[in-house]
Amino acid sequence: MPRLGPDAGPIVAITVDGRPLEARAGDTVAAALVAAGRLGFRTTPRGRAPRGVFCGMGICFDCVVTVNGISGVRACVTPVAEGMRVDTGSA
Amino acid sequence: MARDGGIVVVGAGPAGLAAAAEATRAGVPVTIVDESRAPGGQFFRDRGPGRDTPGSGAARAHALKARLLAEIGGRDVTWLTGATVWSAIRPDLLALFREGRVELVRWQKLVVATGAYERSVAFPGWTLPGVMTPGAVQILVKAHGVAPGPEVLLAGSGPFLWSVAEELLLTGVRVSGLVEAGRPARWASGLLTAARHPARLAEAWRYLRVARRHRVPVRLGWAVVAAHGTDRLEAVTVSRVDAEWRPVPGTAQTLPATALAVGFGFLPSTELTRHLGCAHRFDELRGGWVPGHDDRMETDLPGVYVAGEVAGIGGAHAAMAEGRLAGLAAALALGSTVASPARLAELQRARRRAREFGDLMLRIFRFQPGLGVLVQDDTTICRCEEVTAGQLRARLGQTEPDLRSLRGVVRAGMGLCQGRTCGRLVAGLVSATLGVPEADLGMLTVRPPFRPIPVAALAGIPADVLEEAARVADSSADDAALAGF
Repeated sequence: MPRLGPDAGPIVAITVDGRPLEARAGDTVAAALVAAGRLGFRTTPRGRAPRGVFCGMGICFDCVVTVNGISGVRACVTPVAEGMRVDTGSA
Repeated sequence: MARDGGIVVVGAGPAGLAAAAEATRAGVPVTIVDESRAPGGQFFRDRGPGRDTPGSGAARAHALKARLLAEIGGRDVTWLTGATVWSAIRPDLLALFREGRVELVRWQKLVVATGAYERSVAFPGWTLPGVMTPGAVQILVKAHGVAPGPEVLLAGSGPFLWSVAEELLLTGVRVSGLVEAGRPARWASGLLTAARHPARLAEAWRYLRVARRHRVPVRLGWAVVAAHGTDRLEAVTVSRVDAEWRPVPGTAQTLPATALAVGFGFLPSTELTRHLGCAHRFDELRGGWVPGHDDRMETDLPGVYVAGEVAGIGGAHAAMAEGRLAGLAAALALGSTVASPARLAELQRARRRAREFGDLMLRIFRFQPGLGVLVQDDTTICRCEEVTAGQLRARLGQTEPDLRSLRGVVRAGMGLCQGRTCGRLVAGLVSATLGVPEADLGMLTVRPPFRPIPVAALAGIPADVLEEAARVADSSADDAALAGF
């Protein structure tokens, strides 16, 4: 999906599961992933069910990913930073 | 060790900013705490000056926020943004997590303006990626210019759906349909009340006009009853619903959809007031359990004020009116000689007026229990702990039917969200199964930390405070306070 509305911010380079991704300044991790067409961020530990952004405001903890090695980070309230390593998958 | 915060305002949305504006104007030191890095809460979330979609709700809200921030301006105010309140170690001592460390803030007066979150209904497929709340989609679009797909289906109930539709359409996202469970057209009798609120009516008119201009198919008295897909959403089934929102047999239609925004209004975010021990009452219309308060917004705990959605759902304008009232009342109670008691009466009138419109919207879009029948035995009800409705039903006879006991038995509400998403779903299911009113099922107790914080950060808490916290926990019948450490 192209960015909508007024000018997008400058590019911020992150990696997602080892692959480079161009996010934009001001993006949350969730926004960067969704912009890249990723809706599912992880599978659940028991039911192996896919999950992604649900509440989008830090309430529900469904969108958790691993950021720079720290697991359980809410993608929807975590801003991207240059060089950030994001790992999706199980959590 | 603890910072002296004067009047501490928790939450920098419409209510919190209004409280801070009024209190700083009264010459009292104010500390504003918010989890986000930028003030504004969800309602005032935007892309920054001049970057909002022209003519959109975000752009209009931006102007309102700018006025509030200008009013707070250079007065005696401390901003603690990016700060999560995760516990109250003593009633007058809030524990924050900020920039990787624990900080303590002592308040002389506390204004809790923690807002609300969206109300969900469980249905088969509601955990699939691509199914989100309308607020989630709105934030992606208005704060980041990112859409979850080329088109979005909006569903649920309440005026918020229309404001999200407007935001999406003006930003260039197609809205493939607006599915509202209620039948607002039947509420012509509310017109007399509505006529007293021309500004709000103009807003509603704008939403309708934008939706019409973009030829959004609107279904009133319909609901999404299932979402389909393997790894992500592929289709949804909608069905006509009756006045109690029970699906009408034989009316189901399946539509392709890659993004569904579904929500049923809002619930008050009461973790802090519950943890502090404020008395709560069940106000079905305004979103369930809410902290009680007097006509100055003070709760039964002296010095603790509430304002906005946390005190009962009512919209941003009611929130701003209550914020001002709470901010002024707190300043007067602190002995401000600048604040005028005459203004108190004026703000109380403004509050009643704003609540009148909020209540009208809540009556028109009143939540109905009928969609509870959508929950199958294998439908997830607690997303965090992956508890299904079947597991919950199977254990119902084995414990007291209150939410706390059930949490102990089936883990629903035990997860990271602390029951914010599933609390009312569990309550609704138990209520329907056992025929017990929701108000009799009690509230979930709050276990600090309300939001997870790294264990290492606790090392920064001074020993005397930890001892005090342990003493408070020991003397309490509740297991909650200690469990947080």
